[in-house]
Amino acid sequence: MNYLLRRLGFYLIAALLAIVINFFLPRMMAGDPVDVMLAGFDTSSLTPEAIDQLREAFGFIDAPLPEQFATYVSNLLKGNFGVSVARYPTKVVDILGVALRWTLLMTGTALILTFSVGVLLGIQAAWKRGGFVDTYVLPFGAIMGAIPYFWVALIALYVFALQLGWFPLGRAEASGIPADWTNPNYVMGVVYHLALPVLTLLIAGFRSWMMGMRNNMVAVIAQDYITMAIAKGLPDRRIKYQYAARNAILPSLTGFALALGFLLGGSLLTEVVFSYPGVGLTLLNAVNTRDYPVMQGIFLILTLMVLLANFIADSLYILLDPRTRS
Amino acid sequence: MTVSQPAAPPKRSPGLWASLPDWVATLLSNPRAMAGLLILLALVLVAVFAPQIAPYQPDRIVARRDLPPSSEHVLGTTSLGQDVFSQMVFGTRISLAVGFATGTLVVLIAMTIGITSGLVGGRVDNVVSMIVNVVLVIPQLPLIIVIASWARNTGPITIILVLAATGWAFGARVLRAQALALRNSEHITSARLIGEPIWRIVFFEMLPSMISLVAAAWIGAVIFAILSQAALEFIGLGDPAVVSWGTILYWAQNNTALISGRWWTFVPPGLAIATVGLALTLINYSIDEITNPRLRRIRIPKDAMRKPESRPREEPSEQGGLVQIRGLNVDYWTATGPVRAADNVSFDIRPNEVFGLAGESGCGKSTVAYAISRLHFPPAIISGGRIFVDGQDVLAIPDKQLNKFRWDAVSMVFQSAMNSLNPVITIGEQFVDVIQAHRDMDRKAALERGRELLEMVELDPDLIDSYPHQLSGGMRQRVVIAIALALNPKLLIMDEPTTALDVVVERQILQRVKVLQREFGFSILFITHDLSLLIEFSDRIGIMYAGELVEVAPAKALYTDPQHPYTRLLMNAFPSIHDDRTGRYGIEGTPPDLRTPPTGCRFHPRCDVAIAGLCEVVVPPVVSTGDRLARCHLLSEEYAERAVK
Ligand code: SF4
Repeated sequence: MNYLLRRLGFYLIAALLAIVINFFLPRMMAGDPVDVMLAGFDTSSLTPEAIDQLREAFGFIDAPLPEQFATYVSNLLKGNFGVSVARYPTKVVDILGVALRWTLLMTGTALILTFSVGVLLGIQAAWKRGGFVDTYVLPFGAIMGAIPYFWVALIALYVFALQLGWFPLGRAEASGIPADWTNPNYVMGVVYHLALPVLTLLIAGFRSWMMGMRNNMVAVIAQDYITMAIAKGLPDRRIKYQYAARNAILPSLTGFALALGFLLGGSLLTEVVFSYPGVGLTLLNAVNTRDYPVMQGIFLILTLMVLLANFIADSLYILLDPRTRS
Repeated sequence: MTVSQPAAPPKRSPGLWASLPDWVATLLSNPRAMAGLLILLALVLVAVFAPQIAPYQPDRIVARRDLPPSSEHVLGTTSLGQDVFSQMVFGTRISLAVGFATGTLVVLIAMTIGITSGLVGGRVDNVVSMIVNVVLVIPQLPLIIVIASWARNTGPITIILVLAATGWAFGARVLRAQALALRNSEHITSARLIGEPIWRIVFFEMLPSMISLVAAAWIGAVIFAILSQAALEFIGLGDPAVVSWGTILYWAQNNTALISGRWWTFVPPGLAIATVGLALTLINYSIDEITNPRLRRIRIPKDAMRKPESRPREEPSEQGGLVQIRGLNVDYWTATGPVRAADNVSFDIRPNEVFGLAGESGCGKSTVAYAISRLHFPPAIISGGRIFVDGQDVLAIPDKQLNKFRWDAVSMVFQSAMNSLNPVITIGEQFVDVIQAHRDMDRKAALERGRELLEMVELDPDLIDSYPHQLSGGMRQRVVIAIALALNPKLLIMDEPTTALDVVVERQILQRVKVLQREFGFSILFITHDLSLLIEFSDRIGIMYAGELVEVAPAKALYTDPQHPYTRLLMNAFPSIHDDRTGRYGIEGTPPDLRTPPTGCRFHPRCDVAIAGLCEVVVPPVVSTGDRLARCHLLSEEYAERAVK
């Protein structure tokens, strides 16, 4: 429990840092969202009061920094992430709402897949040195790690969707079927649209788990309890999973944050390539229209989600490692 | 025995430049690293000579738009009519420059922060490592995007700065861990004690030992930078007027090259990035292998690996012991070839007997023990001899049946009590699995048997539900002994079972084992370097030196009348109380390097009664008299005869 509390404190600090970054960045740079918003317009018709009001809507009130910060944080706590510049006065939260669900779906599915495939391959690579996985899959993974995710997505889209026609060219739902999660046709459509992006994420992303797991396994296999397990004449499977992998996976969970960060970055770009209506696409549009509040909202929400996911991984760690419980 | 041994820490500080050639030579001798370096070199040359290589100016409109590849335009043209090949060539410049510059910057920051924090330690280190972890947990790409988008001008310089600002944490963590480990090493501690300035310690003491890690961090950072740069430019956060691989992709995406099937604009940049990545990964892979010996592979010739079951079966001799070891050879394969760790070892263990095996560390006593359970794995190979246990030809057991043999006939208590138990499952599970692997028993009965066994080793049976970390070292070793007795084995091997325990606990445990041995009538192979303990505890004793068995005798006889000069010296160097845990006796000299064992008698360089002209030339014979044997010229009849003359 102590352990979990410590982790919780750590994530609070991380969240605070993200908020601080979010708060100070626009104030450090020249110009604020209002300048951006009004850049292309004739502002002579606007009274200074109107402009100030607009500023306030974006959280740039005329007050000392600490007070501004307090307002900012209290707004965040109320779930108010500001308003969009490009689609003024739509709230950032409203813009993100739907997109977030699609991103969660894609990243979540990809996370589960890359994790299981990567970990299993890592186990295999370490267990059978010089075997197929060790000799071929491992170097393949290493190479994939040096190729941009989004380029793998581009190629996959080009080959499997455009040339072969096996998958749809983009979007998340089949057209013509109303959104209804109880309708199997709709769900099938969603799965069909999800398949290729998730597969590209898998191909491009399984390696970070695999490498980590392989290295941990190699270290664990050198431990005395493995030698003893072999000497005990236990079946291979039991040694491999209950003795070796069960211990080797613990450091993998500690490295969860990093791997999740990579995966998230990859899936944002994959969305762009597949025109998948998630946060990545929203982010791209925000970048193109210089819609800072939306960009910052996305950064903050994604950070919070990653922190949450990490906290879940930590709780899992406690379940798996009895040593943290005492 | 595993495939590798941890690398020994460097004995002295070699100085930054003195250590380089060695390390670089290893790297260069690796074909994979060499290939990586060559690819990288080629790309750098392309970048440098871009104006000479590219047929056109990269941004000049030179032909019709969207032309597919032709002899005129090898990679076709863009949607503006620029030559894609020329863009690729010139793009190499920006992409590599940003990659290398960011990599260097990232490593400099990571080194400064990581090493200082690891070296200074204490509260500074706590704070720094927390900051590092916080930065690592924040998802990087969104952060980079937000920062980059606020920085209005996003030319290459801005990208380098933004990437460096967000990418340093991983390297810092790795380097900090290493600095922390080095900090406590001998030569750093002494350098700090004599008051060397911090910067000298960092540059002349620490960096040389970390240079490979730094190189790996640099390579990782370059890959990170090239990938992130491409990503930023791809989504339009770069300066689209700059020609780089990322902006080529950006324009391709913006001009719907994909949907229109104009692959020549988006395939080449990705391939180029992949090529850089491949080259760097190849180098990193090799560095990994150099720094992490566990990943290194040693080639063992096929015929050395032949399966033991392919040998002709043999029958044990009738009147021999429970365990008969005949001419056992075990080889450890190294990069330079096999090293014989046990050489022609033969002895018997009788039923109901405690047989002690002693010698300095590295003499091969554990090697022999592992061979009896067939626990050697490549690069260790049993290359010759026979082992019979209770009439069974152990080396002829097919791999598939090994699991049945292990623990049932021969069980083993390992050197470190602390690490012999699986830390993440309960003691009970570790009884149940071994019992169920060998006996047809349900879970409940197996647990009951576990409790019974715990009681046998004088532990509370309720400990069955605890995890190893909840027990003390002595308790854990008792648990291991209980597990070792679970199947009523014929032979119990104890490989320095009490090394980590204090003397009182050691005594209690050994006495208990002796009681159980009498009660159940199994034999024990007891291995230790503590000769006094051995004499007290064993019936007969074997002494090993440099892979050979040099003397076997009943414990009392060995004590009162050691025949081999080595045994005699061991006895004289007796640590008064057995608190000598270092594995060294007070004998002059060190055990020989087994790669090049001394000629003649292996002990001659250290022997105080060596016969000049004989011992360093002629291998001494094994002389057996009555119940004992020894391998020494002094005992041979020929020598005795010569001495008489
Ligand atoms: S053979 Fe010679 S060197 Fe070897 S132990 Fe005997 S006397 Fe010493």
